[in-house]
Amino acid sequence: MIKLRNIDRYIDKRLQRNFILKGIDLDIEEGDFVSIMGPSGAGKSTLLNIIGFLDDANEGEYYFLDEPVHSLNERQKSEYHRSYIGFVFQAYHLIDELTVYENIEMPLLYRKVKGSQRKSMVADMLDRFNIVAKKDLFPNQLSGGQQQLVGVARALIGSPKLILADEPTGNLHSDQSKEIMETFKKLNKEDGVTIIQVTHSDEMASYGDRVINLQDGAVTENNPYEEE
Amino acid sequence: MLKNYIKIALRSLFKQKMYSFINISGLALGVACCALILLYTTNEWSFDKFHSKSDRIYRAWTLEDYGEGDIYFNTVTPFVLKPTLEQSIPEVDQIARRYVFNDLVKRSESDESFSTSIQAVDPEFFSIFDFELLRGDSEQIFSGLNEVVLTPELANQYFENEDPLQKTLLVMMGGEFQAFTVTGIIEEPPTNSSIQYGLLIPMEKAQTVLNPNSLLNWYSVTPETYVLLNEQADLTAVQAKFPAMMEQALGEDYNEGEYEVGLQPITDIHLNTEFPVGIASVSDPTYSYILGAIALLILIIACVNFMTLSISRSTSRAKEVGIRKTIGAERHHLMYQFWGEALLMTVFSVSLGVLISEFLLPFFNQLSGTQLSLQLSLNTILLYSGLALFISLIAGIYPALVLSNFKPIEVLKGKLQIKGDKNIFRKGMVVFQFTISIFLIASTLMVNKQLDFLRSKDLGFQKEEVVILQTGLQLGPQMGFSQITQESVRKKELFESQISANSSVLDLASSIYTPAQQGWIGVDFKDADQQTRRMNINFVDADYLNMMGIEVTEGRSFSDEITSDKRRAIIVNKALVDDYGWDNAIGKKLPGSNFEDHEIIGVVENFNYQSLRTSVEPLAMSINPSLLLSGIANIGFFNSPSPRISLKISSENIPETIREIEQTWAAVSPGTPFDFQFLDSSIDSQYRQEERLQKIAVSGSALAIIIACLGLFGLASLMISRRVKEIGIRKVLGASATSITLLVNKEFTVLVLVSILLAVPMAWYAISVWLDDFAYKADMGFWLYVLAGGIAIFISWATISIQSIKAAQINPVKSLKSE
Ligand SMILES: Nc1ncnc2c1ncn2[C@@H]1O[C@H](COP(=O)(O)OP(=O)(O)O)[C@@H](O)[C@H]1O
Ligand SMILES: [Mg+2]
Repeated sequence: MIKLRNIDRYIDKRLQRNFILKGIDLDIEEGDFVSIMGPSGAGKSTLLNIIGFLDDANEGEYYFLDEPVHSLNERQKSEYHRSYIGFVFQAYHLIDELTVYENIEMPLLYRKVKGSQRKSMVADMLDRFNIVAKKDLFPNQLSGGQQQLVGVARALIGSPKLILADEPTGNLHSDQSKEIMETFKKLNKEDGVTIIQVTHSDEMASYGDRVINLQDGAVTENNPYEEE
Repeated sequence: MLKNYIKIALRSLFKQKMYSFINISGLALGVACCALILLYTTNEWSFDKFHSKSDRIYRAWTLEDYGEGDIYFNTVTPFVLKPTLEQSIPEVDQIARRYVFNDLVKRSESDESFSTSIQAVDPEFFSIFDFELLRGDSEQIFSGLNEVVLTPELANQYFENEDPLQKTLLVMMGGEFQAFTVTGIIEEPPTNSSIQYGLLIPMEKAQTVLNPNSLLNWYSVTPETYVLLNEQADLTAVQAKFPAMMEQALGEDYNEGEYEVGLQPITDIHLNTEFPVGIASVSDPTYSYILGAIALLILIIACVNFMTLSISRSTSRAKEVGIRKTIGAERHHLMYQFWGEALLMTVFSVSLGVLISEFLLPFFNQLSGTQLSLQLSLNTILLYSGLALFISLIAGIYPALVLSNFKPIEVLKGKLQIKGDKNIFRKGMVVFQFTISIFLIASTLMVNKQLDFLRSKDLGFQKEEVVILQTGLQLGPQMGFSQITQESVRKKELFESQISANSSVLDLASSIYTPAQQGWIGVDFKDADQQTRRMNINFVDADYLNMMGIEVTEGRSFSDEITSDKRRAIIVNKALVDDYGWDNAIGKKLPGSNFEDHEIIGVVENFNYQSLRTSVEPLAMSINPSLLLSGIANIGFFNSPSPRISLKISSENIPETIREIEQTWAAVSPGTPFDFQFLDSSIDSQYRQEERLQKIAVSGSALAIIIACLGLFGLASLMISRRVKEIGIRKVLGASATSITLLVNKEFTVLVLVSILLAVPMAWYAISVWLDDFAYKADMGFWLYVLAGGIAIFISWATISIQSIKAAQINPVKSLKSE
């Protein structure tokens, strides 16, 4: 599904070039549940952003579903965001002015889903995450864990093939974290959704079936547990 | 989706109440201005277009050109033009002449009479124009001589609730009251009609009291002549026939190119200032341009506010943009969304603005001298929708472009930098707004200064406590200049004899013209070298100069004791002496050969008998009218000559004095209406246009600065909210509240200073163009610009300080914690 070849991402300063990512080679198959780990500043978020088309590599090749990403235009990228890729962020990133219901509904609006169908889809989601009672509240009226549930619900409502989660549990208690991870695992196993998450916690990483270690912008270990 | 957009738009609108308030109210003020100006200009442009045949109706003009600048261009014509056109031009369908005079009208012998404006018109008047005859038979109207047609308002005034048809009105004509029968009621003339009327009588009747010669004479012009051409007529072809027509009409007096006749479309009358004013009033479009320009500037300032504030606060929407983009929103979705929000806001603002304009309308009518009313028709609703769309486009597109261009990773990481333009754009906009504001303030100050100067300038005569009384004497078949001046002097003497010794009337004198009547009588004569000489003339009595306090610098004034003064004495002004290049004028004669025996006995100071727009022109005055009239080649009147009595009164108890004058006048001249003015107020009324401009400038600059300050207020608060942390740190490090206020104010003050530098040359230029209209100008002092700049700095400081003082008092612990 995802094929990265010799990806470089750098920032040119006045006299030198600072590499954030250097020479990344990576293959991720459909149905994988991958955890990216590594110290802070290693380039994990940058890598995730490149995978999710939010950032562009400076060098190297990136194939998404065998299509060269550098030849996608903005429109096609948006199309993928609408129907293939769901994002979950550490800071939840809900829209403050919209209610829980409206936040979850929003991706459907961009996909031009009909009103009645939209209603039932959002209702399903609210059900699934047990937040029906909260549907008319605004994000600042929710706890962090509840907000992240809404974030996940919003990412899932478009039934994406790929979920990119950047430290989704970074701000959560362990109970809440587990709930999110269980959800991911279920999605991965039952619906075959590909999941790539960034995490600092081995426990969270253990929900996945593959770990990629990143250090100073380079992959140091691909699948460290597999050898064991 | 639309619902979602509207929801979020409304919610963010309410979330940032101050921002929304500033944006909407600023824009609403701008829109209110524009709505009023639109109303005004549409009214101006709609003049006379309501006639169904307006494309075929023309007003005739005549142009006599005898060379050497001896030109007479008129939109009033000879009476004889109508029959001549009817005979020689087959394309002419119908012709209606009209002229206006004032005379006394009353209901019955026992009633009081009032001076009323009377329109004499041909019967065709009722078929050429669309003025609807509400009652009466349009076929038969004016088939008799003593008929009168009234507007409903006048009919009501005379007959109240009675049926006016077939009732009798008494109209003073040819010195006696004559009975007229009401045979029709005609609708009130629309306000956008050049032709205004109240009481109409047949032209044929009005002609019976005029000098028969003037009816056939090609050189005396009185009525306007409106010509309806037939549908096939081609204007150029018609006008091409006029020279041949004139050749035949003038016979041996005809010289090619000397007497030209032409047609002006009726729809052209109202705004075309190139044609001389006839009976129909003409509006000088300059003031509507100024009005329009100010309104546009205010709208631009409001739009600029909208843009800068939208962009400055875009950080608060940036996260949303990032989220939407990661969800799959394309740029155009976001463009639509933010532009739509701008549209929503402008729709609010426009609606509010229209409401405000309704409130401002009476004030505006006073400014523009109109009687406009706001009517919400489909057209105006479309117009305002168009305006909202237009404003949302110019004010909303740029913020929409900036917002929709945010890169999601940047905004979601929270390190948004609106690229480069952030400062330059915002600063540029502040400078732009303040440049306009300072320009308007400086112009206002200068208009004020010039008006003060005009009002307070020493005119060379006494203008306070002088009452001008109209004698009502008019030139007529049996009344020449000599007769009316003698009659006026007789009335004056009678008046003098009637008042008591301790009267508040201190002195009085008679003259044909008084100051503040534009032009007096302009005459040309040929000197010995056949050079054309020009001067103005006035006929006064022996007391006039003395009474008015006009200083005689050489020779002496007229004297009652010296009997020959009545016959042969002339007094000229300094300008005439200089113009003719004399060293000593006393004892000299005017250089024309045809003047009767005369002698210049005195020279007066150049007193400003005309408005201060013109410098003092050569002037000659005599007691004997025929003395100055005898030797002239051409004569031109700006006002019909009618003698007036000037009375110097005591400054105490003026209403009582006026009553005394009225009573005495009734005894001296029974049946003549009591019609008086104060000299100083009629002098001031010469500058009514300038007063209007002053009001426009004052309200325009006030609005501009208010809107600009609204924007500044918003910007300052946004800027401070972004610098709360910096301010907190500075306070922790020991900065005082004052120094923090200064720090914030400094940034904006620099911008206002730049604006002053930009605005001063613009204002200087505009003001000198305007001042060119005046022969006498107040000097454009340097202080004026300093003051304008000072006002702007003061107001901007006051505005920003509200914000910065608040910021400086924030507890640093709190502001640092919040990060
Ligand atoms: N736009 C950028 N400009 C400059 N430096 C950046 C930019 N984006 C990321 N970096 C730097 O690249 C490094 C990797 O960042 P990131 O991918 O966020 O790391 P991680 O998510 O692993 O903590 C960090 O040192 C960060 O400061
Ligand atoms: Mg990171």
